[in-house]
Amino acid sequence: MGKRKPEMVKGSLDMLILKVLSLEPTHGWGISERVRQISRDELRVNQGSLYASLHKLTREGWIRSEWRVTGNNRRARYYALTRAGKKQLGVEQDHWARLAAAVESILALA
Amino acid sequence: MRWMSDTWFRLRAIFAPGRMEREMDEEMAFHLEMEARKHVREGMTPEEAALRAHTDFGGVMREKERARDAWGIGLLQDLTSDVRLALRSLRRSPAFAVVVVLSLAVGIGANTALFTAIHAVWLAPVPGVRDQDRIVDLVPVVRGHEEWLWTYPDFENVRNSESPFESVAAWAERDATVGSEEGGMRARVAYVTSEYFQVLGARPTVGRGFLDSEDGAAGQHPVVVVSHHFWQDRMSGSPDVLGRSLTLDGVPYTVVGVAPERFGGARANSGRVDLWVPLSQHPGAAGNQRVLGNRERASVQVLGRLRPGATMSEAQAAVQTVFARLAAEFPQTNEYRTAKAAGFGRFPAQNRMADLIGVVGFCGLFAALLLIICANLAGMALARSAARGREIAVRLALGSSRARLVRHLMIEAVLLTLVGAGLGVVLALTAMARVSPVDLGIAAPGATFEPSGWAFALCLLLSFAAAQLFGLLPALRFSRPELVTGLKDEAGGGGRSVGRFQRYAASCQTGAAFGLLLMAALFLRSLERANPSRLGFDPAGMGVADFGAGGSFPALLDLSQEGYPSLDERRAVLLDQLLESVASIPGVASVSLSDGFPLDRRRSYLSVRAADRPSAEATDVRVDRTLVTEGYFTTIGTPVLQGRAILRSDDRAAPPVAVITRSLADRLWPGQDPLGRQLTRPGAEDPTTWTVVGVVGDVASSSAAETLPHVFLPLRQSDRPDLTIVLRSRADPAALTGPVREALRMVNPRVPVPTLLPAKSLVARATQEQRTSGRVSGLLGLLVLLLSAIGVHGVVALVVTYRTREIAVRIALGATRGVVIRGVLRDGLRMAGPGLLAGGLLAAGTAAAMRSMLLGLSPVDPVSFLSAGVLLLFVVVTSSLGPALRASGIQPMEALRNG
Repeated sequence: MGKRKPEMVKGSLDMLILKVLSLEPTHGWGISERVRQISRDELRVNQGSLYASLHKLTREGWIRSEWRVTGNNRRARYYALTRAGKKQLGVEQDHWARLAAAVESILALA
Repeated sequence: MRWMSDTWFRLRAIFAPGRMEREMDEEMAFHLEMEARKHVREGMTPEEAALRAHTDFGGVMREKERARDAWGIGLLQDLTSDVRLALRSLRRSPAFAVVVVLSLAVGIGANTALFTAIHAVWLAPVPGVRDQDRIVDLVPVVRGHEEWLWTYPDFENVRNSESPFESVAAWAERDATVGSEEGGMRARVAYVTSEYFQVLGARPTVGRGFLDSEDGAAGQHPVVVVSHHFWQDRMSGSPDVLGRSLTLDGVPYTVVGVAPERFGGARANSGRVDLWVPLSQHPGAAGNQRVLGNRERASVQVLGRLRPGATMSEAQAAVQTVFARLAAEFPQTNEYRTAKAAGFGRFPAQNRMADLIGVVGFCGLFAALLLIICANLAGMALARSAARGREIAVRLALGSSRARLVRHLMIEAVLLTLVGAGLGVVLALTAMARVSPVDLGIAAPGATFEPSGWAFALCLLLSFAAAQLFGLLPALRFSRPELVTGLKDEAGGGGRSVGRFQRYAASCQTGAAFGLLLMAALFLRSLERANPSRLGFDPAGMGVADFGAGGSFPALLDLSQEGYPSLDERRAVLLDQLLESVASIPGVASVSLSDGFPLDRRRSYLSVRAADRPSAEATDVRVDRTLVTEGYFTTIGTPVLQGRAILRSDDRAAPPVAVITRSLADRLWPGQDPLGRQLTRPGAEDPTTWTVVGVVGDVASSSAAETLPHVFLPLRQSDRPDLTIVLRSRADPAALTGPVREALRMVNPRVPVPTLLPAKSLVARATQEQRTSGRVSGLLGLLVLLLSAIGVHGVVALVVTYRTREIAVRIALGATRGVVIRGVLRDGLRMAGPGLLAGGLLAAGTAAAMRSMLLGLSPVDPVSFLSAGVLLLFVVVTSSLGPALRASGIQPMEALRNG
């Protein structure tokens, strides 16, 4: 199995998607690639959860999608952050920071 | 924001699942392709790369499933289970379901019927006419009043000037005798200019319309276009109709065309045209000094067809420019004349406002009925959900979402509404298929009630609104948590505040029921006024000859078309012969000839003034004018109050005389003896003055609703050619048709044969509006009464349930049965009170606005108010009596223990 890649913490995928989309609108594959690149291959997005998550975020009204033509002339669905999504990203980041700090402080005890 | 994107998503998932699926496939395919390309860039073969991408994805199908769950397609499954649940809960309360379905069936059915009727007589396009929205009705306006007819020269001026019209047509309609082997028959003939068929977009389907040349010299173009129904009925639809001959008023005409099916002329609601001939054939066209060519005699109606893109206001401006020029050029005839442009439709523009008010009024009434029904049902649904409080509390406690609960209640409402609406529509259409607008007196022969998509759409809309109204209110109550917690101590809850909404609803209903019953009572009471003593003539045994083809009102005989063109010796002899031969028929008590009769819808007006006054003081009185021979007043049964009647000796050799009605005498010479005074027409064109020789009682004029001042002139002194036979019989006048026809044939076999109409049927026709309105509002009133009885009962019962404890305490403290019953009844009455007041005011207001239909009855007629009020109070009291009795039977110990 080699070195285990860290599991995605439950619920953090949404936040990662929102974060990636806050940089620039892109398609599903682009999101997974960007997550992989930025995390230096540490994080891998499960493609299935990715699309389920994208649909959920669309339903929540945090992201919206449209069909556009890519650089090499392929039609692809591009996702972009909505205003509500931007706000949500703030909320999630804040939430994450508090969670991480809490976990950190507990681990520091040990 | 969230709910919007969410709703959008769900809607797409439900309504466009295929598209979503395709988009998803495409998105997945794109992902796989990009992934595979990456692998290729990293050095794999394309096959390996594709396989790797697929494996990484973890099964495309599985991922699609996961994504689909995120769409919320589970909603559909929820919905089915909700429907099942709703059906189950409705089955548990069948009485509720039945009342709801029936009430909605009545409300929506009534509205569907109304829409169908309005559509048929008001909104539907004029049959056989194309591009109706480009046709403009040109209404003559004289001294600011909308009139019906143009003078022909005015029309010619407009036709020949620059205008936004593609073409302009004029026509005049009259009855004429069509000859055939079995004798004459009267037919409706439209005399039209050559542009007529083009303006109306109704070019003949067989043969041709009229040529420009046929507008030319008078009487030189005996050609006729027959209507489709005339062709079918009178010429047995034979294919070689073109070139056949028809005699019209004794002149042979050649058939050159057949009009399109269903086309019956421009005035669809007032009468169907049988034949069209060129206007140059009109009796008034000959001898240039007669009707056409005369700027003083208005004779034609005018329509125009706009050029594509031209507007109504351009048309009006253009026509008014022409009239301004004419006013300058011919000040004595055209100074106060102009015209305005109006949209063309089933109703002529002149009546439209009055018709519109009537239509809107009826719509309001019916919509109010539906609203009341919805309020009633909302009340019932509320009471029911209050009774289900425990069930709902349990479901909430078990984790049912509030939204789900609301949805459940809404689904119940929608289900009930659908069934109710379906039933209502079926009922309405079945009923409408059995009556025709002609029976109801709202349209001319040939009209039918056809179900229209328009009515269906409105009906659907209404049902939807109804479901919202009566489903949403109770449902929303449960989305407010504090009410749900309030349910816990419902038994302790006190008095007045209980069911505030239901109380308002019940009050509104009683008000509406009162209003409607009141209207019905007023109409029915006003019908009583149509009895002989009020009409001013005696319809029993009286008959009027109809020389027409059985149209919507009796047609006259036109002597000028039967070979008696002028007021000469021959005509005088004919009159004598006619009177003599009819009088000799056994059973005929008296007979008279006249150019009108009481309740004749065609009215001839005349402005008269007293000649013995200086013209500055004299007031012109607009009066009805009827030409009569001797025996007229005996025949119609109107008493001669002063002086004498018109006699045989009042002929063209004798000085002009007049008999006037009491009211005219009082207007012209108040408090003085009118006999021997002189009457004259203002405007010196016709210098005749008449000597008043008699005064008769007031007679109903064109409608039963009013008695205009009336002047009767001797028929023998007038050159007007129209006449009919009025007679009084000892038996049923209708039975005299045969003998009268025989008598006329003896006098002149060429004269068209009449049908005798009993005057009673004229009265029935004249009071049709009152009877229809009385029946409709009476029926609606009874329905609403029933509904409000249910409503009042429901509310009072609810209140008693809520107040069980309080009442028990009172009884325990010594309140008697009587006190308790009185208390509950008082509560019911207090609830109905404001509604009664509002309903009464509303009805009185409406009645005042429709005063002309009340035949002189006061809109605040005390008998109507009293009877409607007593009926309503009775219903309120009886429907609260049940709960009141139950309240009085409460056993304090039991009630308090259980509470």
